Amino acid sequence: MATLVLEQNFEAPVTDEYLNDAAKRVDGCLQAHGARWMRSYLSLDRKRLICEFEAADAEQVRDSYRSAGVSFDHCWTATVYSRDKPTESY
Amino acid sequence: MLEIRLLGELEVVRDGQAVPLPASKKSRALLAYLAATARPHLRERLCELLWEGPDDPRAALRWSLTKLRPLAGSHLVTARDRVEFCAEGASIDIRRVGIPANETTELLEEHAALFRGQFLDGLDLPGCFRYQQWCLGERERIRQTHITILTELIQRLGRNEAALPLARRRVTIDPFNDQAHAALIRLLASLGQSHEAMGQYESCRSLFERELGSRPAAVVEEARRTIGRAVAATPNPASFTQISTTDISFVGRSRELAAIEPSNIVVLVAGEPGIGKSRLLEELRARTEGPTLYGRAFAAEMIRPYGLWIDLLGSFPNETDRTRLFEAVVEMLSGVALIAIDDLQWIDESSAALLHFVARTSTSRIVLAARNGELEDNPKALRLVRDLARDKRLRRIELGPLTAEETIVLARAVATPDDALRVASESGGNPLFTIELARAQHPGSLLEVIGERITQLEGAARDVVSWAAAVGRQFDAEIVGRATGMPAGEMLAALERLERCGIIRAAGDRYDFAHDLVREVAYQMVSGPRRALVHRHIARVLDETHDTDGALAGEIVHHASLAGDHALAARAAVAAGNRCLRMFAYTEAVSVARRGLQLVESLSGNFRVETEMGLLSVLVMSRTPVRQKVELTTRLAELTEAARSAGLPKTAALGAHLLACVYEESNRYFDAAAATIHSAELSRTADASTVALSMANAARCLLFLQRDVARAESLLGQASAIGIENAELDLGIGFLHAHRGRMAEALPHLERALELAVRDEDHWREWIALWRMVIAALEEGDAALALEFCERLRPVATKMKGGSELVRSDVLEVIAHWMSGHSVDLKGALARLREIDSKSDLAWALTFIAQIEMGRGLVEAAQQHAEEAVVAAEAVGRDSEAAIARCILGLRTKASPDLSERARNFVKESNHGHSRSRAEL
Repeated sequence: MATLVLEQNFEAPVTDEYLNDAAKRVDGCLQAHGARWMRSYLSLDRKRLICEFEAADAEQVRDSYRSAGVSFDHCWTATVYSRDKPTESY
Repeated sequence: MLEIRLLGELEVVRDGQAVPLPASKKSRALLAYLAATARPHLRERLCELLWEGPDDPRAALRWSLTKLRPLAGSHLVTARDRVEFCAEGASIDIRRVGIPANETTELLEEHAALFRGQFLDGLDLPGCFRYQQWCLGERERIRQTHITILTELIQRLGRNEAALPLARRRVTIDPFNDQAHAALIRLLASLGQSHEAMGQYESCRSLFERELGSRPAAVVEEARRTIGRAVAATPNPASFTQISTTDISFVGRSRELAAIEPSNIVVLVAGEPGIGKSRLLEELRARTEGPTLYGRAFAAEMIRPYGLWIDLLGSFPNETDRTRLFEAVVEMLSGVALIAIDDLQWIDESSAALLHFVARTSTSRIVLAARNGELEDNPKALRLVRDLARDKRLRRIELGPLTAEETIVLARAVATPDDALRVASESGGNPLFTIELARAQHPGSLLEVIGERITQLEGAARDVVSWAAAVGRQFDAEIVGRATGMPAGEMLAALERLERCGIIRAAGDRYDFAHDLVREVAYQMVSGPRRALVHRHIARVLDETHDTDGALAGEIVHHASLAGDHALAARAAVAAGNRCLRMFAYTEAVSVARRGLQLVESLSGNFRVETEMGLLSVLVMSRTPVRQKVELTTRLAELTEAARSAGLPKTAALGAHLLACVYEESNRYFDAAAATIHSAELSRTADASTVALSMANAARCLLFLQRDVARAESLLGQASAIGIENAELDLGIGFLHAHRGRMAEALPHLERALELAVRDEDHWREWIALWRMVIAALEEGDAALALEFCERLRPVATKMKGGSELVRSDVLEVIAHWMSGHSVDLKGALARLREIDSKSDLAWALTFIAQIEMGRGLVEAAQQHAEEAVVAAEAVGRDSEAAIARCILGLRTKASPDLSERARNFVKESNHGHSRSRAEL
């Protein structure tokens, strides 16, 4: 499984309602692909959102968003560096 | 000695003294049922009989039994699972009546005297289907016995004055029997009472003409000829003390009014019928500054979600979910100083939920009124009261009798000075009783004096009262007019008279009874067979009324069921159920659908199939637990098949749609790996098009993943059966054909999907349809066609922001050029595909390229590509590509050695699409 990052930018601050609704729509397809949402980072001005997934490839995440009609700016596969593993890939 | 009387209103007498009965109607019905049957019953069956529903029926049964124990004493035998009324040593009237032909005349007379009215008069529970069916069946059987006893007695007594009351009674209980009328006319004539005989003939003729639309049979005419030349007398108009309740000034209650005075919490005024709760609400409204609203719940168990609020507000918001609906109502109530709600004991579930919401959020003062003892009969009302009390939002005020002084003041306002003191002392401080006693000509109980007053009415007024009482709630003069077929002038005169007598009163643009007890008494005075006829006429009139949103459907179910018109009742149940769903009244929706399903059991043919499907649709779309919905699938499948073979395509499509909804919600077709996008959340509120879309989407998802193609096909079949066009459906079917290598079939669907996506400005579906067309053309080996599609694909891909579409389109275009022998940067295109991490596309492209390379004899290159293809395909679970690539490598697949063997043969065909589909076989 790879770590996937998906970026979304919004012109106006997003509401929780929108986020919940989008998540609900995307989730089924993600599941069907065997992909998994891990966590999200929402900026304080609520205009920028980064979501992290675990999936076999980036297309699974993109396809889930596309088929659910949820737009995004970028979706890419990431190598993870963390405090525990500063030089090793995830 | 305990005596239970069932032939008339239920009465319990112990040692010659009448025992007060529980206020709860269901408790009384339970006692009557146990006493009438006098055999052991499983607790479970008793629950089904009277407490079918989502609440705790066993607790309700226990509660009722505790109320009955003091009445029935040791006769009530309860065990863990059974309950029995032991009749030994008790006297039950119905068990004393034997076969008339075998009895002596004295005994027959004694038996005839046991009949005080119809069996369990007034103890109808139309909402409890099983009990009501039992009660109606017994009532009819006992009525027949009563008729047989009377006929036998009348015959034995011959031309004897003693036969006269019996003959009159027979006509009352069997009003459409020509023989009974003829016998009475003959008897009157033979006793020399020509005027009465002629009057009887006239009333028989007008009854037949008005209610059956025919003339009485020849036997009645023959009886008339025995009268001679006598002329029918004009009936004497009865004298009336004409007092309208609203004319009477308000008496007493200063303590209660002070207790209710402006406070933020809800006040519940509780008391016995006639004690003055409604009058108190009226007085409160009069004393309130600013706008006030009044609404009341009704006893008749009709399915009218939010009925109370619709009547109260005069209109009702149309919203997309329940919370918004409730908020909209609170918005409508802003500025209202007082909301008065009467007869809370009969409130329906949805109205109760809304009332709870209003009590928590609205700033208006709320005052409720309810009958003591009857709240317990209605779990929704009880829960509301308990919830409000728990939140410390409710204060309960018991309304007791007026003091002796107050009663005298009231009596003086309504009775003659001579009568005032007598009336005051007999009424015991119950204001309604005081008023009724003042109007009565003879003393009696409250119900008796009301009954006497209604009996005194004559002609049209009497008729209107019967019909209006059967309506069961505030009535529309036009509906009653149409049901009776009475000319408008006559009708209006009758209404005016009834209003003057204080029997009815105007309530907005409708009429209501002055008190619900008056309605109850009036209804009980209508004989059984006539009641059925009256309800049938009302049901038909309502059915013919223009009613697009099904607002009247719940009332039609009620009247048609009471009339025994199961077809009309079941059909209306479908409309009522759908209306409940639209109003988010799910409990009512389930309840009316279940009621309808019991009714359709007696129907047959196409009508049954269509109606039953409609009812099941209500259940599936309601919030019934999934487990219960799954139990419906067998019947749904049978009905769908029946509809199909009966040539009912719409009903069959609805069946397929409902099955799909249940499957989707129950997740039966979707294991964890293939969980569909919308599943349970969606189908709860889904309309047909949403469900079709969701199924097609799930199918395409599976096809894209190359998983469970058979399941995808089945989903697409169900989505097609719904018959709603959408891009996703054509896309799914196109994917399926393409997957099977059936290019000719795939292309039209993909083109159609493209067209619909363009129409809906759905760029992604536009792109994916074209993308699949390019792949299909490539797999067919038609590079030129693929390039044509690529031309169309590129501009769409360019429009799309953020995704991988441009790179994925580019790869296909490069491959098509490479196939045609053009010089292209294949390596670069593949590198970009790796970069965007699109493993399934990469797996496909590498396998495809490797196959062509094999055909061209470029074995080394092919093996290199195939090697990478295996890794990519296995990472994303693309089993077909993995198998083909392994064949190229000469390896055996891990999953199925047999599959790889066959796949190896087909690779030689160098047709990717064909080889994949056949490799799967």
